[in-house]
Amino acid sequence: MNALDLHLDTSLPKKNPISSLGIKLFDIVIIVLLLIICGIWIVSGSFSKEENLTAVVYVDGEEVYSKEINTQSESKTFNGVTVEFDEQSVKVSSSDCPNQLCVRTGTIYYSGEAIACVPNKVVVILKSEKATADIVAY
Amino acid sequence: MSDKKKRELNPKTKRIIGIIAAVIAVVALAVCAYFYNSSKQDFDSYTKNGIAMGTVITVKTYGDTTAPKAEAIMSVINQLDKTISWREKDSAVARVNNGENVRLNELSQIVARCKDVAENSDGAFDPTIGNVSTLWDFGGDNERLPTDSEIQNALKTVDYTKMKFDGAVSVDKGQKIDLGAVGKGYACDMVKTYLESTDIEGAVVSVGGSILAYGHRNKAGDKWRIAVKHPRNEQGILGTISLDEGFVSTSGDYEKYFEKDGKRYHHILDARTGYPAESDLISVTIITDNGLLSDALSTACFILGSEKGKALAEKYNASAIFVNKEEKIEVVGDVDFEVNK
Repeated sequence: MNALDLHLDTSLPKKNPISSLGIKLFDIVIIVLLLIICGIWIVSGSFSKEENLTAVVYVDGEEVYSKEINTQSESKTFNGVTVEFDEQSVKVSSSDCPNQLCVRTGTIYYSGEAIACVPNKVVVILKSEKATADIVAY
Repeated sequence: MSDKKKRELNPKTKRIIGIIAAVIAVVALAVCAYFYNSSKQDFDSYTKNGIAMGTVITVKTYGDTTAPKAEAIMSVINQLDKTISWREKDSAVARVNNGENVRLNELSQIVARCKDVAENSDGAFDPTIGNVSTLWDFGGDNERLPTDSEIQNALKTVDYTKMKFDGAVSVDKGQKIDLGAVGKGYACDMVKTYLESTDIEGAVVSVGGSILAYGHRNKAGDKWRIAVKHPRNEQGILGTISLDEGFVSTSGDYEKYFEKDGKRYHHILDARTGYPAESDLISVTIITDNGLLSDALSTACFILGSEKGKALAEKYNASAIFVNKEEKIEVVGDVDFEVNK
């Protein structure tokens, strides 16, 4: 007998409530599958997915450049500020500003972290579509 | 017996009813799943980054995807900087420091609250530290290690009890106010006041690392997640605060500093000595319902150290996360903080 064609025995004296409805094993398999799909849908919606970090450079408030930082390393200069985009991080390697605070900020790694060169009006920020935190306190 | 047989449905009908019932149950579950996931989905958001108050500003608004409100927030912060920055030539604080009596209600309120924290921290935090901070000029163009005699001379002018803020704000001759320790937090207060006048569902705002968490990110009302930077591990996050609404400020010896002859000089000055504070703490994070207070307490607790700092935080019903020199974490008060592993 094919398992999918198996009819539940309805002739037994104590009737199974499911078998009394005339539901076949195949129907139960389909219903269980649908329940599993619904379950996966609920659970998948509860977890955020980490996505790639993107470094975004602003000059005087305007976005002038963006780059996914897990790609090839590169170095670019914006308004006198040289930014190094590494495979996992970003830093300002040099700047023509007097206080060098942007250089001394060091390397940033997390979404929400930023480096600012105030005299040159340059801001570098790391962003991620789905980050583990909304913002970084420092 | 024959009646009973009549009431019984035939097997085919039963099967159809059973399948319909099962399908209804699955559809109901799917609908619930849809609404659950929808409520967990963030409102549409808009992000604006820029520079104001000499630092990085990040504004994320939720439930409003247009630029004007984020721009308005930037404008609120810029406007405040023109009032309270001692570096701005014509600011209200610069005028007070030049000996004027400045009638400005907002400034009176800031000064009054600073005085309160100064009193409760026994002068470790003192807004009249202006002459000392000018000497060090952390983050400015003239950042340097002052001589001890310069510091001792400047210290003579540091005394919060001589500030006047009844109607007009004024200081003693030669005294200088520096609101740098509370400016970013107060900017967050101003932003919150603005947000309350809008229909924005939620927002997170960082003014140079001082944070405002406002409203909600989604219909489910999920908490905001605020990461706290590790004070020693450059690549690390100390942990994450989960917060409904409120203000978060962090003071650490790692943010602004310079090194001279192998010694690190950080920017958090002890108003009693004129030198960078040397307590058992390397990082203090404060969580309160007021931005100015968060900023003032994080500075004061950092200077006072863990024991007195804890008592001060408790006095203001603030929550705190202390990290000492051994990198041991102490959580004070009621805060949902998950340490990063």
